[in-house]
Amino acid sequence: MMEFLSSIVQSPRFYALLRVAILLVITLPLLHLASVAIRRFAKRHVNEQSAMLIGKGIFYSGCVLLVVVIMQNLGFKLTAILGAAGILGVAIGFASQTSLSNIISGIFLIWERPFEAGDMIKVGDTQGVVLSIDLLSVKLRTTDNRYIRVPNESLIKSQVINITRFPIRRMDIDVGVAYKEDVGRVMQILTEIADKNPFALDEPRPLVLFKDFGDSALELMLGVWFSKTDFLNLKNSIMREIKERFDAEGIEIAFPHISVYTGTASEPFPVRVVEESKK
Amino acid sequence: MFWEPVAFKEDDCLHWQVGPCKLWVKRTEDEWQVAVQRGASENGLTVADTQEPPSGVTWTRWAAINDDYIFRLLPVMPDRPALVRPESPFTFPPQSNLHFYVSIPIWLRLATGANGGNVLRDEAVVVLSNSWFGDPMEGRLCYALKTTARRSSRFLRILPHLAACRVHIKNRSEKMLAFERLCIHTAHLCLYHDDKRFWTNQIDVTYGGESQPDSIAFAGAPKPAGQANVITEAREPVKKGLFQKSFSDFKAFVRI
Repeated sequence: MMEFLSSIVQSPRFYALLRVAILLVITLPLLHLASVAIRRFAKRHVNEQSAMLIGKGIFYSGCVLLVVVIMQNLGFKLTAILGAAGILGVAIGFASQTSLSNIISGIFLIWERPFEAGDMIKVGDTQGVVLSIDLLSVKLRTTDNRYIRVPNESLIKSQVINITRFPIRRMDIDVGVAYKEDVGRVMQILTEIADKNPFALDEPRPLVLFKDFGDSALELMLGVWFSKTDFLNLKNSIMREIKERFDAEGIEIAFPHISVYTGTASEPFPVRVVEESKK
Repeated sequence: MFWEPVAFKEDDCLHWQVGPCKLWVKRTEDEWQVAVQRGASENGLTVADTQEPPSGVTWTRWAAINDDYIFRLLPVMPDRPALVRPESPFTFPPQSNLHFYVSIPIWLRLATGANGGNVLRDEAVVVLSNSWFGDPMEGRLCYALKTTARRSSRFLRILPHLAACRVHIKNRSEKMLAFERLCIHTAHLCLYHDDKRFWTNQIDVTYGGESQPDSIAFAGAPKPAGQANVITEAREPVKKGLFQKSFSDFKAFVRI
């Protein structure tokens, strides 16, 4: 038994395995510590997403180097392994074109920074808060609390609206009033409503625009600037205020209607009242 | 003076009114309760009156420390800068050295403890509209304030919730200076009282022209305030060299 053990201890492979074990025990925690420290340091200079990416990059690069060193210690010929890895890489590349495309798109997204974690974005019909920007996909949380994964490739190809990029936004409210109303008075009232609302910014000034002669209404637009955090407060309050003020001022809010003529606009439509037949 | 500490007994309900803001404060066995209502009357001043609130008010509650029965209502400056615009256009001639007054509505700090150290919350006496100073991509959120830019403090309304701020403008340029808007960083202003009204520090603004940087300084209480006493210190004391560090910040601080 002792002879067997001593033969194992004296064999060169045992020492190689021991070196590898020591290397792993020392290097892996060190790599982890280094990546955490660098991530914390990077956070002071770049955003959290980039800091996380730098930390992960350092850790995985270190892991690759560690694997190479372990291979050398175990006596593998690196040139042969690298050759095989090259062939394998080509094969994997062909098999995972979509994933690679997503990874490259992810790198572009992180580099270009059209949005950051915490921003509210709209991609096609999907709108939500960015939870994370990963190498393959961007994770969103919608306002009704659904989790959506959007592949990076589709984000690069499509139009992305970053709703909360800037600190203030403009809310455009379409208002239609009846043709009989005095447009100047309506425009003045809309300005007054915006001026009195505490969530509407006094500056930039609210915009009142006479848009068009619509089919059923005079179409106006009230554009009110607001701080991005006040969207709901402003939307709820100003819509109610417009309705209440228009009611108080006797201004008719128009709705779609159809006039039916009998051939001449001025002639009344003949109506025949028919008594219900007695059974 | 409404900012003096008031000792409560268990189940007391006291009422304050400062300008249009009405407050009811209740001390129960183990909590403080506060209800706020803003009315139309601007001139009201009631201090620690025993009055029950109207039905339907919303109470906010705070857990109380057992032996803490002292309540203080402290006047403080608003929590955001005020973007002041003149009601009618106002222009300063070249090489002029003039001043005008701005009335700023104060806030109320609800605090407990003998020295008011336990702050419950800050409450605006008047809810002002929001405004924005800067361009739509970068700037700061402010409160909108209109001013008649009175040249003498005699013409300012004396109301319990308004603080008079004297703004001294030195137009060092060779051009007329149109007063369009002035961003007053209220966090750097102290509140004084001279037995009649609140005052803030005097603000000295020197305009050197478009190519020259403006300079701004905060003096103490202005001359018309006489021997006014400091009631509350500034939320953020001005740091020396703050505006020399960043020219863009400096420009954003005050622009007329």
